[in-house]
Amino acid sequence: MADALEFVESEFGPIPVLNGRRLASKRKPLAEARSWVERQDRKCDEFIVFGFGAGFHIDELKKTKDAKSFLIFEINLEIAEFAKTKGYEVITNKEELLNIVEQSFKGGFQVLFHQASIQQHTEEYEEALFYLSGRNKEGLERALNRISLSLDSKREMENKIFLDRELVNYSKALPMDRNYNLLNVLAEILK
Amino acid sequence: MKTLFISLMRLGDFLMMRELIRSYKQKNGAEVQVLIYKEFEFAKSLFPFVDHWISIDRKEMQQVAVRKDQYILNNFFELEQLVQKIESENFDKVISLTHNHLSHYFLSALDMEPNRVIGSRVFDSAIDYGSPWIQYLNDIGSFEGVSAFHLIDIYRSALGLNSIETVEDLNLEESTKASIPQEEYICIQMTSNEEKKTFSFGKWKEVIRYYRQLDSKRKILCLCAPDEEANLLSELSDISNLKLEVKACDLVTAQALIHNSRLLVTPDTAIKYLAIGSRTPVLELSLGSSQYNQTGSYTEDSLVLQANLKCSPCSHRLKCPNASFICQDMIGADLVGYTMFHHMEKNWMAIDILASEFFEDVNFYRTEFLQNNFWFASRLGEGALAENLKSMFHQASWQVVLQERNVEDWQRFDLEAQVIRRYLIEKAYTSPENLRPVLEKFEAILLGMELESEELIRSLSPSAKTRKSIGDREKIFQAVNMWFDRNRSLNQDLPAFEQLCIEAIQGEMDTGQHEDSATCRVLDNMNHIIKIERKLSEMIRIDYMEIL
Repeated sequence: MADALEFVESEFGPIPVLNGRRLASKRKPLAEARSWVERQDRKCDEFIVFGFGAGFHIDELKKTKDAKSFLIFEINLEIAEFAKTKGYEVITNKEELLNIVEQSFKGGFQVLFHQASIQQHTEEYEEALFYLSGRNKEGLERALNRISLSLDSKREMENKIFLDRELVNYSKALPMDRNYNLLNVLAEILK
Repeated sequence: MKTLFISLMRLGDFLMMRELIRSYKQKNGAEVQVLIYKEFEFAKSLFPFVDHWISIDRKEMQQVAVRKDQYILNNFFELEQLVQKIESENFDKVISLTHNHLSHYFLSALDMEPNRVIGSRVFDSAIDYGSPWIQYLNDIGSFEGVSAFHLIDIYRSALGLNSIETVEDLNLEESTKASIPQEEYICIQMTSNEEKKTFSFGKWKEVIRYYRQLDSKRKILCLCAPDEEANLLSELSDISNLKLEVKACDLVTAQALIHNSRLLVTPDTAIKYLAIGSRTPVLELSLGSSQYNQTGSYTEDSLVLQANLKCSPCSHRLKCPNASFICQDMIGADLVGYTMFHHMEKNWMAIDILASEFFEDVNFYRTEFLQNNFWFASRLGEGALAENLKSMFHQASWQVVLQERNVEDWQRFDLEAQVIRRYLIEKAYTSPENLRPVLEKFEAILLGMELESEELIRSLSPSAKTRKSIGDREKIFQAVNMWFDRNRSLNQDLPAFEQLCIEAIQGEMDTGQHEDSATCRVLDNMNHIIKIERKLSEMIRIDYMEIL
């Protein structure tokens, strides 16, 4: 079923209402956005924000010093258009997003969630999350290819393998490969 | 000279190597950096000589690994950054102080020339150890042999250090000095992180009561971490009238207390390594999986008590299958209490009497540094001479092999022979009449072993094996079985040797292996060791009479 999107006006600008639910506070959207930024348990300095909403949280995130760079992922195309009017480029396709991530984020990254946005499309965002973070088979294949290790597709892989210390055994690599050794170090540390 | 030490295992393993790192720095005037797990950073204050610390936050990595909002390669990139940082530092030496899978992979990931790395790693498609001593350590682990050397001596030799320096002055802060009692005292570490490695509180209390029968004067400090204090106070409340004080302290204070103590009594814990470099003797209870010969108290005149059991030491990973810990039951509280007193009094004659009395049940080992600075644990009690000589010949022979000396050049074993002679004169107090029959018997056995082992090695070599029929192999198999049945108990490496031979006969050994493969190397070393042991025995037997 297609999303029903409308906008309500507020003192701070238009607020999207998706399927009858406002994506930001009408009265105190800035305070809400600041609180969102503070709540994030940030472990990286490169982020992907899931959900544009009304964009106030993105404005706040931009102001923080430790957010070196970030990308925005939004499933709803109309909201993506709305983001453009506020001066933001928003990616709507998970494959395209991962391509950009792999080219521009040389190290790792973290996903931040705008709850009001993703509650409307939980399954789609979750699928994108697992794909991006390498926590499903396809995503893991992409991740390991990024460090030149190809997966043995004959082996059965489940989502749980990212917790499993046997991770490296799923990959085909020469023992003298630096990345193979690093993955083994990691597996030993996570034992 | 800029050196990185890597210690990525347990805290005890790291503390054990503390004085080794200090001695290395003193000898080489090196800038020393250390890589450890972040959770052990609290021990940094014990290493004031370390110039810079690098850490891996294992707990953080574990957290990141389970968080779905984190990219699966986040930890990987962090590790990669760390490796790049280490490479960019241009270390003259990178030394791994732990020999495990993790250190092997970590060193393999480093892009560094072999002469700059000490530790097991893959380099240029082959395994490299950086030192024959580390290769020995690897072989001992792989073939489940028993090390002839203390771990510190293995690393000391690999690093070319002559000895570990003694620490005279700890340079303590005033607050730490104030916590050291003015009166004489002894320290006890009761707790361990493994149940099978220490006594119950009930038994410790008995030990203290027996000790108090002989010494009512000296204070007993029960060392513990601050979070253990309440438990210890409650457990020991009924014997607090026995001049006992529970002392919760950090590692620096514990070290200061041990340094000034008359004796430290402890099971196999990290605490015992705080005595290294001090003159405080340690009474070590080697229980459960504790391997005193590799990780025992590295101090002069310490004493190790170990149950005389076939299963001792057991595997670190395995739970004890017995209804109670027999290795603990066999070492009685009275024996420990009385031994504590005599040890503190340095009354070795009384300890020797105890060791003789309990010879069948409990092994008493006295630790010492031989003339060549190698640590040696000699068994006490009547009847221990043959066993000590075997261990001593074994250690000396491995030194010759690992120092890569010409094993056929008998003249050059003078130093080893001298070390053994001195031990016999100064420590074993053995008369030539006692010694001669022991050595003659030993040599006769070794000669038989030597000839037979050469024949076995020839028949088991990959090139010979391919030509053998099934019937021939069956005969060799029987010969091997008989040989080991006769000789198994004579040499601590033989069980590993036996396993290799059987594997070779059963065809598990790859026929395409070249002569320098690990298996062939171990087999050859065995043969050399037997030869050198026999030669040393001969040298001692011939001139011992003359010296006395």
